[in-house]
Amino acid sequence: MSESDQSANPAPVLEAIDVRKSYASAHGSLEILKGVDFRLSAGETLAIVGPSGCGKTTLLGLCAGLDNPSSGSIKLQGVAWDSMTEDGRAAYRNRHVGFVFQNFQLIPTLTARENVLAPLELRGERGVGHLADEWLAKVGLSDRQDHYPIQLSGGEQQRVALARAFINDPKILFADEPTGNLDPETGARIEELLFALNRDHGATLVLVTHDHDLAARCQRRLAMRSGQIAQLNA
Amino acid sequence: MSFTLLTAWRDARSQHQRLLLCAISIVFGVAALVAINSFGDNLRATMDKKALTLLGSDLRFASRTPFSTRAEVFFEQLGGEQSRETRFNSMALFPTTNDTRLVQIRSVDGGFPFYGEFETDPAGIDVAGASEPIAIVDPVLLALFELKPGDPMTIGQQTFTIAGAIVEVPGESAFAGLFAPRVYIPSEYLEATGLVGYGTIAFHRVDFKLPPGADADIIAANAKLLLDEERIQYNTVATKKKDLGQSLENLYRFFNLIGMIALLLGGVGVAGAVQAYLRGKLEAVAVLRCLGCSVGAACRVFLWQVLAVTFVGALIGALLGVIAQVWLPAVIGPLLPFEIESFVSWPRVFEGLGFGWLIAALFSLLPLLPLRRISPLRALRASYQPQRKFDPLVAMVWAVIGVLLVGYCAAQTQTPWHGGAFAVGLGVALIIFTAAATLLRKVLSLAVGRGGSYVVRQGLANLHRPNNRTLFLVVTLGMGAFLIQTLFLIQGVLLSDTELVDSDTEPNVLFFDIQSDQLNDFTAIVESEGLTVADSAPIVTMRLAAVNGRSVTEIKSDRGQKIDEWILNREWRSTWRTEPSVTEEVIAGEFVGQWDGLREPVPISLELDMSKDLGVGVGDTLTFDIQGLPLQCKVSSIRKVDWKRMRPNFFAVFPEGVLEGAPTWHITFVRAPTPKALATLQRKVVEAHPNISAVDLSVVLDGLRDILGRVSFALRFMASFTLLTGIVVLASAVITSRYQRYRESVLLRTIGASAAQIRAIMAVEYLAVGLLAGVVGALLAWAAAAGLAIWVFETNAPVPIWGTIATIIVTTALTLATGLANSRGISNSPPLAVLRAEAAN
Repeated sequence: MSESDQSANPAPVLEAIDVRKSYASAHGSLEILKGVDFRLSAGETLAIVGPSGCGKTTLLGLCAGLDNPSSGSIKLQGVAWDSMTEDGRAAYRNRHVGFVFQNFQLIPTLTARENVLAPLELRGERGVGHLADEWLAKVGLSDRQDHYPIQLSGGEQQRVALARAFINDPKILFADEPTGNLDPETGARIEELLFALNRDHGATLVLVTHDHDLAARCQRRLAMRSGQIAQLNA
Repeated sequence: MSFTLLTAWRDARSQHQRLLLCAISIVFGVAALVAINSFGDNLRATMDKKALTLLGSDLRFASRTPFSTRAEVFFEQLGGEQSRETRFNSMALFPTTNDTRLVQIRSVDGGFPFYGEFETDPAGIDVAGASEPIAIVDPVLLALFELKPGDPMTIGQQTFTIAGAIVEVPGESAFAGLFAPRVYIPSEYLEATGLVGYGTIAFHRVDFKLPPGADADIIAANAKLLLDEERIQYNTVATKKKDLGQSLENLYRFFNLIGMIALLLGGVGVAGAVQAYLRGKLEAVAVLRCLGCSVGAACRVFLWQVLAVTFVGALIGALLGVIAQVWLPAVIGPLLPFEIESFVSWPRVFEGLGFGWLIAALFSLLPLLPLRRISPLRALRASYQPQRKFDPLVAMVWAVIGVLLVGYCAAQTQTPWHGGAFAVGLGVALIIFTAAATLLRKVLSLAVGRGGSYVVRQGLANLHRPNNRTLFLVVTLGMGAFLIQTLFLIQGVLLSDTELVDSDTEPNVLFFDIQSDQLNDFTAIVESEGLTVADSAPIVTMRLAAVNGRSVTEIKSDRGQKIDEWILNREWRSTWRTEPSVTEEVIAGEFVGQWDGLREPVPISLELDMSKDLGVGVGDTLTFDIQGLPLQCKVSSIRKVDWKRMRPNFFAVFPEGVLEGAPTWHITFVRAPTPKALATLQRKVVEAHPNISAVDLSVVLDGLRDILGRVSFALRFMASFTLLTGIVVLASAVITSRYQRYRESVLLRTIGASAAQIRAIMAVEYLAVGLLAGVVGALLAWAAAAGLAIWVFETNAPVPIWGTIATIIVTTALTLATGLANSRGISNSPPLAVLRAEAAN
């Protein structure tokens, strides 16, 4: 599908409009993103690929509302991130967004179950422990729920991270090289699980990866080079 | 339970040790405050309870001359009961051992004390009502000359029988008879001593038990004119309590400032430990933000932890303070005129707990508030750092700490500017340490090249690379060294008077009350013992009658006048000289050594501090009343006097040719080479002239050292809180930086560095930090002690060369030792074990 074909799609879940991002550095302003435009519909899966330093992770972070672009705009479900306050964006993420990180990013001082529960507890939900138990069962870690991250292998940690990402029933899931820190076999299992969960829950998936096989499993592929979209296709 | 509380609790479960580090720095500061404040309450409560016994009567009048008929008429009108005492110093001879000693004679009659009990051993000796020549004496005399009840003692021409020892006199401390032990005799036998008469310096006192309904303070206030004119001083329970309370309050406030230093140092330690703790939490904060946690909620998670743990620290401190308080009466008790009743003052415990907690919480906020700036992007990219911007909330916390500090210090010092200067001084010190650490980092970043030893380069590089702990370590260690060394230097300044004359050449015995007609005979006795008079001066007693034409009575009645009452009331003992003595230096005007009789105004030389107290300078006039004769004088010169040298020093020195006709007595200083020669000389002089008194300066020095030793011990006791805090902060600072060095040390081990190399890298780092902190801290302490000595204690600035070197060495060595002790686990363990342990942390 070409860029021009997108106007035919229903209302996009994610829309990036001329997104630019630059950082101040010792040698002046460093432009990371140089005008990125794309749209993503509900239920679609998108892989962002490209060489290191091309701006993939920055774009993912901006799409997830973790920072504001220097110029341009990003809308999630029709709502521009920059129209919200910092805490407003956090609350919105809590309701509608899931995250999976390359280095798992479990909170080391919480048990697996507590890590999974964190998004729900954050919004004050009570009596939701059974949901964590269910999700841990789905990822096959029922017997490890009281273990701390240090007591889990990398693959197990990423499975806890997946459970945490899905427990709030997100509309969109962002994954930053979700298998990047895992061996191929474990990576493949996580990959399966990620797509299966995503399929079951109908979430939109945006992932950054260097893995061509993983990228190939996505419906769409956004290739970046030097802060710009080199190619965007289905 | 809210999410933030729940997460705070969960997150803290495996962080006990690190969180404890955040709290431990505050423990001794809170302990010091609680101990001091609780002790202060004990003092006040005891004083309130024993108010009446502080004086022993309702009203007391005292004069340096016998009371005039006018005064006696006034006393008769007051009614009630009277009790009289005449007090003077004289030599006592103990025939049993043939020893002599300067004692303080107190001849008494009447029923004093009217309140409280005059305790003796054996109990119940009534010396005032005795019809025989008995004496009760300070126990020190019995111990000194191995005397016992029944032994004789001769005072002047009368021999008394020692009936017992003094145990307690209402309103007097155990040190009351330190320089001249107290001897009570019946007033009936005073005259028989032959010592009270013309030329004797005696104090006359009358105590009243007033009739019911009479108010001592109102009586004294109504009689102010009469009392001023007759130069009679008065004391009531209220004035005694105020005077005593004031001096105890000063001591208490000084101790409180020391406690505050410990607390502040602890606060700095808390800030550093919390900062180190939170550095390990940055990614967790970013993840929480990614999961939808608000900025406030993310910060609150760690705020609850820090508040809880600092509360625990403050609580432990408060408990320690309660325990330490039990020791304070033992330390300070002997300096006080009553026994302190020790009890736990709960309001003070809660106050110390609350204030300590507040200080700890405020210092914790300094590293905690920047958590608000942590971007959720950090979860994706650990290196992501938002641009550093001015944070108004952090500035506000600094402002609150500053206001609290200035307010607290100003409240604790008698002079508000002292408190303000103390707080500003601490602020300036903080800025200097920050500047020194920044400079070190800058210099190292420019100077450390690629050559030289890898170990040295790596150690020094650790001090200037990103996420270094140089600033925190230099500030905490340096502030610790600075505050503790300043405290020790000031203690040295306060105690420096014990270093009076202790040389082999200075005089060591002083004789006074030598009448003019006794001088030649006295000199002959001295010379017959093979000794010589080192210095001598004639003395004429006088009183100040007017300053620049304003009479003393007029000055006293002026509420705006700033001259101390003691100067206006005191009996001046002045001398005449043809030139300044070896202990004097003329700093303004011209010293006039000769004058033509009583031609007024007579040029006199005034001592510098006295001129300041009187507010006069060269050219101003003073009128003295010399035994009834007014003499107008003009200040012709101002002298600086070295009071530490045991020579005849005077506030006012007249020229030769003016005072010779006035009643005169003499003071002489003699050097006796051995204690035996000293004892023989004293005995021969007393035998020949019982009215001449001798003061053994070595005894005075011993007494001074005894008192100052106790004060010094009390100071050290309080300083130990600061010292302990300093050590805890040092250990905490080093331990927290250990966590930071963990990962790279493990990496170095992994790529083949030996344990010795890792230790050497750390040694270079801690050596540099300790050295910088020690040098800056010691030099700042020198400057601070000099400033305090000159402007607050008005004495000479110390020159602590060895103390400065010692501070630098001790700070460096302690930093190095603590650093290396804490690196043991890193350098000795297998990398894998350390990696796993590091990950668990």
